[in-house]
Amino acid sequence: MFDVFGSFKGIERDLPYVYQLKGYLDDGVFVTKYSDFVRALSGRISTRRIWLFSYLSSGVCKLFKNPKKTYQLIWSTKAGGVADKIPDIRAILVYDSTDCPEIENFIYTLSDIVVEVLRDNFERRAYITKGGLNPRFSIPLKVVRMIKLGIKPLDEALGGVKEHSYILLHEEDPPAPSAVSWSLSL
Amino acid sequence: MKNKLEEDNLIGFFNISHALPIPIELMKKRDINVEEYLDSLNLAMIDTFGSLYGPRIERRGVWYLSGSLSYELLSRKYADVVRAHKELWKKENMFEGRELWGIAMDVSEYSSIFGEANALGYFEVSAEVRRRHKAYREYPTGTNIWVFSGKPDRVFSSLYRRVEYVVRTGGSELTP
Repeated sequence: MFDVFGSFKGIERDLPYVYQLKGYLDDGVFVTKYSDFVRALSGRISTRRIWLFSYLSSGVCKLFKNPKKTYQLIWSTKAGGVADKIPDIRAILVYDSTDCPEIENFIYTLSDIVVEVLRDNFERRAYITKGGLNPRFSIPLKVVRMIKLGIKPLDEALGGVKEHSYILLHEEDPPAPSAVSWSLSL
Repeated sequence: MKNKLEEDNLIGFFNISHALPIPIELMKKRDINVEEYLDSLNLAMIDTFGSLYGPRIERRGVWYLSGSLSYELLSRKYADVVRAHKELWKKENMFEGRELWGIAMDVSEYSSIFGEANALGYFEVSAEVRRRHKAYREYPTGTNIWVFSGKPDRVFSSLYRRVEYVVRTGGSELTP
């Protein structure tokens, strides 16, 4: 586990396999320290494939002054030596646009597969809006199809996740509380 | 871009809004052999993002703008690297029988780099530079595709009036 939030807020955690960046951090310092960390780590792990999960990617807006630029620089560290050691990096990113509309354009462009998750009363519905049926056609012109939420149904719907795939789970923004739901009688 | 390169045409890719390793990775995922086209000089990449913030990819076919970048100087610096690469195309006799395309991605980024008013100023000056500079007078000129994303602003209106064709792509309608 890589604890970005705790690193930025100076909350120290002495837990095995929980990694933090120490010392002073701002956008630029974070990118430098992060790429050093990732490069050192990828030298120690000997594997062909790695899965990355992020929760939430849209949290970068809370931590960085220039989230769009910094988030891109973080992603581009992969090209600087990591991809040679671990050739197949796949990722599932969770994103909520209320948190960070600044990175939406980039994160959609980056992702091979986009799953949009809507709330319908108490049910969550998921739709693949990019990738899946024809991964080479990258512009999400219309809803491709509805799927059940979860890694297994997603994997089945896609017919297996291809190498190097980045999957974006776009969570619908929470609904604005209506006047009715707050009229509690005290 | 993939089709144009496969047909052996010439492309200048102006990278503005992304750290260059990312568009390169995206192109590779779409089966564009970026390194091969950079080596053969068919593809030139002008990396504005990397010139401003890094990282830089030092290799044949990738160009950086030198010194500090202001909106007043930008179009002249572009013209200098365009001329340098066009000189290579000329030396290798590559203009003959090939189409020339310029792709700028995304021009909307100039507003966040320089501010909307300055970005507008840049586009107005750049039209003038393209008319006068040797890079455009002494070498063949191509067809440009400008990618604009996000909400329309004054820069968009100005570009909209100037271009011959506008193609609008739709995003997803689920989570607006």
